[in-house]
Amino acid sequence: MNDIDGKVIKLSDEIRLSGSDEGIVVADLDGGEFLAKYPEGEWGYLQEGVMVLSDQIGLVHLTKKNVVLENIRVKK
Amino acid sequence: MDIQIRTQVCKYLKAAQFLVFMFFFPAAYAQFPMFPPAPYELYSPTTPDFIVGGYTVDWQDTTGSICWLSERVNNGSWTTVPNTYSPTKTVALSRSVGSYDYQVACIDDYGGVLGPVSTVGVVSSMPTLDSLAVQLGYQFQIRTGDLNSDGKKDLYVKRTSGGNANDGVIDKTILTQNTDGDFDVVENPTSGQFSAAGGWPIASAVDAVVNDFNVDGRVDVLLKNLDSTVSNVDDQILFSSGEFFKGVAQAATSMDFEFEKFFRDTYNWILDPNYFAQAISASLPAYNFSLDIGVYFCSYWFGFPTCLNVGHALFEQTVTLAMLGLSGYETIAQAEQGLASALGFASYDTFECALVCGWIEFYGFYSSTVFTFHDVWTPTTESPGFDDINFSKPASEFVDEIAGIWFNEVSMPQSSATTIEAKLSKSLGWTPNVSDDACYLNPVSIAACGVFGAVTAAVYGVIVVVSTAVETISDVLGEDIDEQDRPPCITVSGRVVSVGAVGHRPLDDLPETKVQHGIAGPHYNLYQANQNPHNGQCFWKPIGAVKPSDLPADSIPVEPFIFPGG
Repeated sequence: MNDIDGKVIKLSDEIRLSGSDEGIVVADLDGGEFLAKYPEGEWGYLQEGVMVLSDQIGLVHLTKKNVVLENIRVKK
Repeated sequence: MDIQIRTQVCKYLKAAQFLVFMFFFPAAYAQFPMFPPAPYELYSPTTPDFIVGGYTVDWQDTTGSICWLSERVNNGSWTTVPNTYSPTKTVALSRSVGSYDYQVACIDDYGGVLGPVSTVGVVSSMPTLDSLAVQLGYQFQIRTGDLNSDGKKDLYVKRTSGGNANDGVIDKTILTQNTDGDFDVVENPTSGQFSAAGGWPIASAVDAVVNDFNVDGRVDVLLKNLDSTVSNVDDQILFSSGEFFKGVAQAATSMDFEFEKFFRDTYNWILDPNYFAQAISASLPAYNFSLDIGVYFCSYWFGFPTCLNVGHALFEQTVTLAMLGLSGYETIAQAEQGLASALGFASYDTFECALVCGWIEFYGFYSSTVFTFHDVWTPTTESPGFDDINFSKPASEFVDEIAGIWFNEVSMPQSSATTIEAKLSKSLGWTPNVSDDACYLNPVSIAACGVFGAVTAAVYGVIVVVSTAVETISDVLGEDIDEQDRPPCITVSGRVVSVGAVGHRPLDDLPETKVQHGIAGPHYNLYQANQNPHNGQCFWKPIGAVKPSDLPADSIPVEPFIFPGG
């Protein structure tokens, strides 16, 4: 999945969510990569997008649709 | 007739016999060589680099061989210098202005043997070299472009004022960026390359700091703030060649960790003459860094602590300060602080505080989540990254000190532990060795785990037991949890949230002129609560944004779920 600028969102990327919220990618469903705490066997059912762990929101599931709506960006 | 045939056959047989003989036995002359052997190794003749007027060429003693001196003028064809056959080994020459190459040539039974080349530049006058004080006023211009079309920015540095172009100080030089982010000097740039580089944009944000960094009497050029124009590279020092008529740089040195360390050590040595004697040993200490992150749910049954390990990640890496992107730390405390910074915390104290504060925040609510941070530093000889820690002590004492084990047991929300794990993975490229579901009891033995887990469940209700049960079901059987058996979603403030509930983040108070999410002005970002059917873990999903007036009445503030998992 790509962010609003077209940059590929990868596992462990830090990304900016809506507002001032930020998080880190813990599961990349599109890329098939998962952190140990979020194994594919448990989270693969979501099929698409990425799972992000945010200090402000907690665990969040983002898809392509959210990228556009929420202006999701990979932090530089 | 038979005799004729026999005679003919005999002739053929003799011819064949002769050919076979000639094939297997070498010619007689090979036993008597025509030429003596050439010297075992030929060396380049000794010549001046540049000269005004006559000069002398000296070369090795070739007595016993047949050798002579060859000359090439202005890259033309090679000719023999008269009166230079062995055993001659020196000749005085007088040539007009130009470039002259010389080499020793020999002949032996195996053919010709040629030695390496020396070059003399005959010039009408030698360039003058300004004093260092004057050289410090030289001006340089930096341009960046892609010389070799590899997608990486290369450098063109040109002296724009001061001195003589042939005085051995950098006059104009091109450097190509390699895959490591370092720069290689283009030794003999063509006029076309210089012309192309001269058209590159000027890197005005890069400062050219001029000084004689290698103390050779000629100024060098430090490219400061280079990463303002060329991303992900260190500042560079371009060293002048120090050779007349050579205006390209001799070398480019990255001002990286090792570079800084060298000068830091040198500075310390100047301050303390015993510095190296005390700090440097034959095998510099380096360290394997083992970081064991454990996450436990703990409760207290009649004051007796019971902890169930629900997450466990072990990192084992050889660590160097360079790996962490750190440098300049000379004490353990400074290195720890640097490590904390690399992990995104303001300081090592903040790092620990974050864990403890997390525990304080969470403690008293159902149970505590204990986070263990068990770091072991084991010295190795493989990587000298930490050799600059605590240089005030001999290396051996330092090894003893840092080889100790620090065990800090503090507590934090599980989400924070996961964040740290993710940061470690990202910052250092580490992949944890995970051994989840190892069930520990503290302080009782592992064998009693099941009993105390059950007791814990009985005392503290659904929270802890579901945590254990969920992992067991999903990991062992891989089956979904029935909807009615799923644990409730609970946020950090203790709010129980139904799956499907709508939540909102704090008001995004934009001016009316600004549009986000298709809404002009202030708005709330909405999320919907979801739950993983495999492990019961709760999470949020963005569903859009609304104006404040359209915020659903039952919308709740969005905050992290602490259970089951965040």
